[in-house]
Amino acid sequence: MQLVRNLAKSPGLVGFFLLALTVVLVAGPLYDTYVHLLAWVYEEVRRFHKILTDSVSSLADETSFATSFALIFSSFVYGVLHAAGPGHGKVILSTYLLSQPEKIKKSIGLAALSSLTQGIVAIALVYGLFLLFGLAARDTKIAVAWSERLAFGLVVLIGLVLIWRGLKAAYQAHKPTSAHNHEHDHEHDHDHHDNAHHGHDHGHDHNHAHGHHLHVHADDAICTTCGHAHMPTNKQVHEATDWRTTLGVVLSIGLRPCTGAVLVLIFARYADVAWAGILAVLAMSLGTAITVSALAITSVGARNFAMRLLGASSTWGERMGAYVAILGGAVLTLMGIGLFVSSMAPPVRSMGL
Amino acid sequence: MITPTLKLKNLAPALLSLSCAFALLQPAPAQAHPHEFVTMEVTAKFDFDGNVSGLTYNWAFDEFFTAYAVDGQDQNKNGVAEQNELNALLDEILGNIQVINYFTVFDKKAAVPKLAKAQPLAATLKERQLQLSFYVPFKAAVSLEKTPLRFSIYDDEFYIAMNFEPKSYGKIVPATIDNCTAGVDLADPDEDVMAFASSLGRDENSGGGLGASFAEWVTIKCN
Repeated sequence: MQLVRNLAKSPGLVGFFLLALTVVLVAGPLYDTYVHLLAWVYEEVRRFHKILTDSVSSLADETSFATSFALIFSSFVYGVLHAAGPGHGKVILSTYLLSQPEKIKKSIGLAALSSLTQGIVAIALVYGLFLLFGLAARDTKIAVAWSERLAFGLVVLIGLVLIWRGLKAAYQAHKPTSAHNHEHDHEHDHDHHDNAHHGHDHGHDHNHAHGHHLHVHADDAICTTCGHAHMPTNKQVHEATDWRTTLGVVLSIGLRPCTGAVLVLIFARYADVAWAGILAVLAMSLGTAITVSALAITSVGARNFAMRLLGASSTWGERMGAYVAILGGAVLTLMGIGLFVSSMAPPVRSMGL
Repeated sequence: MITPTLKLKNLAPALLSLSCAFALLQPAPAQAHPHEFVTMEVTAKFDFDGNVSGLTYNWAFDEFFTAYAVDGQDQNKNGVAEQNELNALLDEILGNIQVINYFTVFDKKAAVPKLAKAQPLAATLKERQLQLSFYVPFKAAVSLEKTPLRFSIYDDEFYIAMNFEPKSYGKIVPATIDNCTAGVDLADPDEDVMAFASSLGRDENSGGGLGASFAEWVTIKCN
């Protein structure tokens, strides 16, 4: 009985084991699928290449509705499939969404905006620099490299912001005064507001008052729009840093243009149908946005699922949220540094060009 | 007073998120390796004594590489690839790849010739594909009476996929040479190796050696 009582006091522990079990059960098959997918990509990549170049070529030879549609369609499909592979943008977005309380709607917005930015940056780098400075394809490489370095720098910055937020939240979660009252209040209010507010309980507002919580902890996962009217300063601060982080996420992804896009643009200009290159890249961005949105929704869903298992507003859940933020931040910081360092190496010069 | 301590209970979420992070932290490609494709034809040159004295290379590049390479070669910026510009491109490429033996690797268990400087033959554009031909003489002709000649042409990084055109297998040994035959062994890479290649981005280094898994080998035997 004592054990049951203890478990009941910390639903997070049960939740944690359930979550760990889920991860263990899912991870193996997921990895196998991933290897199969990549091997398939290897076999298909040449075909994609061919389809894309052929559709630009036929458009250059004869501009018609059919050839334009073929190019836009194949670019769109390329975008969808290409985004299914691993990529730095997906790591940033999923890490950010796993570690920060965001809503599905905003996560889709982030995915779409960063995919579109990627396309626009590619167009600006390849055509913009050509128009402004007459830069040839080979010189574009240097501009792309610098744009990427900027993106990697931003990845490090976002990582540090996540670590900072996580540390603040962890400090709050470990604060001795808040631990007991908090759990109690939560249990109490939960029953009343279960459905009305996505599982959010207004008890939090009171907790903030009692426990002096900052708005950086995991509670926001359940409801980011809850009325913290009695703490306007904190909310304002949070919103102000929020749009900056959002911009950072979008740019850290978008400033690294997709190679396929750069190539299609270069080839389209070479084939004297530069406008078709722009259309193709925008179609690609749309395709990428769809796949990346799916990943974003999955990330937000996974976070919400985990939080529900752990009991989001329990001390356990708060700590979990804080740790995830710190680790997510560490992952991004390390990845950003790694990418930045390797971007300093001289670019690959195929055939020495 | 409850103080935060390093109990397993406290560490567990951290470990869990770490494992999630590892699952996510796959290599970050812009696009999978390989990024360029070269379709090759190769012909061995036989001297009067029936020894092999060199190889003639005929490479067709994919449209993307062609656009990239030819665009940079447009010195007078008129948007048209003129013959002298294409010739300059061929010279530049040959100068660049001499140090890596024109991507050619010889099987050490068979005859191993040393390569001299390449001689450019032709640079043309056909259906928006760059085609380069050149001849690489051996420093000394090799006799295939006792040992076969076995070689491959591949990019060690696997940044460029280099494959022999199947229809050209018959051209490896000229029709006039009737006592020698050629065969091509295709690559049979593991799924894991293919997956690794696919996971590499344009700006990522495979660490070398990856290309060997995808290399096609030519064997020329004489009796």
